[in-house]
Amino acid sequence: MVAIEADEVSKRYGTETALDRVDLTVEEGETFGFLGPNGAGKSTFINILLDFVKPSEGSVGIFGHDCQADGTVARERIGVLPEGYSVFDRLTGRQHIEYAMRSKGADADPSEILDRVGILEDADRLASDYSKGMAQRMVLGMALVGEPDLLLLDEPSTGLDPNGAAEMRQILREENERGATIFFSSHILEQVEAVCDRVGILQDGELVAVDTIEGLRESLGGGTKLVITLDHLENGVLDTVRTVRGVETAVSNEDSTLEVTCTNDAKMDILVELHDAGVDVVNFRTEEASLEDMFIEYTGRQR
Amino acid sequence: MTWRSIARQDSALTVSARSVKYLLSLLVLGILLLGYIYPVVGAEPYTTSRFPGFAQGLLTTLVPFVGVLLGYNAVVSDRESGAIRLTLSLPQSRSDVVLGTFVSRTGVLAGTLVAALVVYPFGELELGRFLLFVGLTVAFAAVWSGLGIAVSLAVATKRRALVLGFALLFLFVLVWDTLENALTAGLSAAGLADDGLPAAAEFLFALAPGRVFERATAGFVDPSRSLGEAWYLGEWVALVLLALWIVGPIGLAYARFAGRDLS
Amino acid sequence: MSWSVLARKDVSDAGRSRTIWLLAILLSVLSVGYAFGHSYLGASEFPAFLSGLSDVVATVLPILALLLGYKSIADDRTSGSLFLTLSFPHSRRDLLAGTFVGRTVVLLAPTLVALVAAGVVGAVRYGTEGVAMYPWFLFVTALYAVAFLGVAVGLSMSTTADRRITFAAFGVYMLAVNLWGSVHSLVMLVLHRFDFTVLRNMPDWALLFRLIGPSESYGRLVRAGFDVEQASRYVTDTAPFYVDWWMAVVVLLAWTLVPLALGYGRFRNADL
Repeated sequence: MVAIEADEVSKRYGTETALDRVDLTVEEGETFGFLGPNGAGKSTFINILLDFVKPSEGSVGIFGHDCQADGTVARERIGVLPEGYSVFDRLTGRQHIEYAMRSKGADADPSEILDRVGILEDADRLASDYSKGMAQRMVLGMALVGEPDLLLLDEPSTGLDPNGAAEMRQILREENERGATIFFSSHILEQVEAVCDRVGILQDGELVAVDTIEGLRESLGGGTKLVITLDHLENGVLDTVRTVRGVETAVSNEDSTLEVTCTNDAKMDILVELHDAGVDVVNFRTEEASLEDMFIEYTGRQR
Repeated sequence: MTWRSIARQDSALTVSARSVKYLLSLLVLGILLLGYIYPVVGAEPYTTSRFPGFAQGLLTTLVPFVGVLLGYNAVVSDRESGAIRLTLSLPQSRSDVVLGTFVSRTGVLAGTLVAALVVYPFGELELGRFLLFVGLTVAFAAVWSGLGIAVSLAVATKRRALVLGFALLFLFVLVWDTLENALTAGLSAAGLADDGLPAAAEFLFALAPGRVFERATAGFVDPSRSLGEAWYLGEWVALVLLALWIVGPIGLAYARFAGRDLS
Repeated sequence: MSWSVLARKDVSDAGRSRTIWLLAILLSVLSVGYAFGHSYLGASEFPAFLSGLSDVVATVLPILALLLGYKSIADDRTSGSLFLTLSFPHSRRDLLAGTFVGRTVVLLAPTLVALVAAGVVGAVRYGTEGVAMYPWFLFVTALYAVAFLGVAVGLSMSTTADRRITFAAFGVYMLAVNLWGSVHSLVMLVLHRFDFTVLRNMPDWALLFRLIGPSESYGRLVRAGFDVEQASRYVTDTAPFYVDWWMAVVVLLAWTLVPLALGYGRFRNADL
C-alpha cells in the first residue's frame, strides 16, 4: 500500500513557483526524509498534504484518499506535527491531548502520552506558557494520539535541544517499528541520516533526487573527498582544481586547506595539476563523502 | 461529528474569557432593566406579547453588537496565530470548524438571551406567543453571530475582520434609519417623491436584519401592531428573510474560506 | 528628542496600513459628499451646512481615531517588536509620546485635508457668511479627534489582552458617541421616578454631566462658534457658568489626557 502519492504537484504564487511538478511515492512502513534548504518548498508540499494550501496543478493522496477532495478522511489515519502553528490559548497541555483524542475519536491515556514525550510534569500548565521545545513535544504527543498509520512532521526538531531531538528520533523509531510510516522534513542532515530509509532532496521547488542514502552516495561516483593541505593558498588555485575532469566541488575551509569532492580516478589528476601549477602540497588525505557534502552538491549546483 | 468537539472546546473557551462575561452580562442587565421599566413607562395592557414592541430598540441595538463582537475573531484569530493549523491537522474539515464555531458562539449568545428573557417574564404571560418571541430573538441572535463569523472567515487578519464587522454594525444598526430619512428628505426636496419612498427603495430598506426581525415579531407576536400594506412587508416574507440572513452570509463566507490557502 | 524618532517611525508605519488609507478616503468621500448633498437635507446656509457636517464628523471620526490607536502599542508588545524598540535608548515615556504624536499626525493630516475640501465646496455652494469661523471648526474637530486617540493609545498601553482592548474600544465608541445622551436621560428618569418633565428642565449638575460626553462637548463647541440656538441647552440665562464653552474644551482635553495617564501608569510598571 502506498502511504503518500504525489502526482505532478505544482504550486505557483503569482509568478513565483514554490513547487514544480513534484512526483513522489512513499511506501507504507518507510521512514522518508524530505530534505532541502530553507525556502525550497518543503513546507508548501506538506501544507498541500494537509490541505492548508491548494495545489495549482497535480494531486496528492494519502493512503489513496485525495488530500483536497477527501481531506478529512485522509487526515483520519495520520498524526501531524505542523510547522508555524501556535498552541491554543487557555488550554493546558493535557487538554490539548484530550482535544486531539476527541477529534480523532481515539481512546488513550493522556498521561501516558505526555510521559512519553516528556512533559508529564507540566501537563496541567497552560500551553501558552510553554517554551517552544515543550510546545513541540506536546504537539508531537497530539500527533501520536490514536496510533496513526502515518506520521507527518514538518521540521520536528525546531526548538528542541540536542537531547530532545534525540528523544524525538527514538520515538520516531519506535513508531516505525510499530508499523507506522514516517515522513518528515528537515534542513538538518544528521537527523535525516540517523533515521531515514530514503531521502528526497528538494531544491527551488524541484525534487532533484530521491534515493536511499547509499544510493545517493553511489550516484556521486564513488563519493570521495580529498582534503589537501597546501604550503599556502594562492589566488586561482581553486579555479585550477575545478577545471580538472571529475571534480564536483572544491572549497577552501581554512587558509591553506582545500576540500575537494570528486570521482575516484580524478584524485591523481588533481595532485598532478596542482604540481604543474607550482603549488606545494604539504599533505593530503581522502575521506568518504558524507551526506552533508552530497547535500551541498545537490542543492548548490544550480546556484 | 467532529464539529461537536470543536463546538465544545470553543464554547468552553469563549465563556471562560472575562471580557465575554462582561459583554454577556451587559446584555442581561439591559434586558432586565428594560423589563423593570416596561410596566412603569409602557402603556396598558402589560403582556409578554406587547413587550417585544417595547424591547425592540434595545434588542436590535445590543444583540448585533454582542453578536459581532463574539464572532468576529472566531476563526481569524486562530488563523492569524497559527492555532488553526493544529485544528486542521486533526481529522476535521474546514466545514467542521465553521459549523462548530457557529453553533458554539450562537449557542452562547442565544443561551444568554433565553435566560434573560425567560427568567424574568414581563407582564402577563401569553405562553405561545412568548415562546415564539423567544424563538425569533434566538434567530435574530443567530443572524448576527453568523455575520460575525462570516466576517471572521472572509478575511485574513483580525483588524480587517473588526473593521468589516464594525462596518456592518455601523451600516445596519447605527445609520440605517438616518440613511432612510435622508433619502426620503432628499427625494422630497428634489421633488421626485412626496409620499414616502418608492417601492423598490422601501423594500431595500426593509431588508436590514433589524427591520426583518421587527416585522416578524410584530406580525407573529404582538397583536397590537400592524404591518405595512405591501406584500413584501408581511411577516412570512420577514421570516424567510430572517432565515436567509442566517444562512446566506456564513455560506458565502465559507465558500471563500474553503478555497483559501492558509499559510 | 528620542520621541520624535519614534513618532517619525510611527507615522511611516501607520501610513503603510491599507485600512487607514481606506478610512481616510471614506472620510473624504463622506465629508465632500455631504457638502454636495446638504442642499437636499437642510437650509442652504453655511452655518446649517457646518452643523450637519459636524454631525457626520462626530460619528465617523472617533472610529478612525480608535482604530488607529487601539492596537498601537499592544500589537508591538505581543509581536515582540517592542523589545526591539526599547532595546534602543528610548524610555517608555518616549514611546508614549512618540506613538501619540505620530498617530495624531497620521489622523489629523487626512482629516483636515478632507474637511478643508468640504469647507471649500460648502462655501461655494452655500455662501460665505460664517466662513470666518471655519478655522475654529477645524480646531475643535482636531481636539475631538485627538480625544479619542488619547483613549485608544491609553487603552493600548493598559493591557495586551486583545479582546479586552477591542471590547473597550467598542464600548467607548458606543457610550461616548452614540449612547451618552440616552444613558444620561435614562439615569435622570430613573432618579426622578420616570417624571419625563425632568428631561426638558434639567438640574444644573445634570447639564454638566451631559456635557462631559465628548460628542456633547464637541457639538457645544461647534455651535458656540456658529449657531447659538442649537446649543441652547447650555446657553440659557439660567445655565450655570460651568457649562460655558471653555468647559467643553476642558472636557475634551481630559478625555485625551486622563486615559493616556492611566494607561501609561499601568504600562510603566508592566513586565513586557
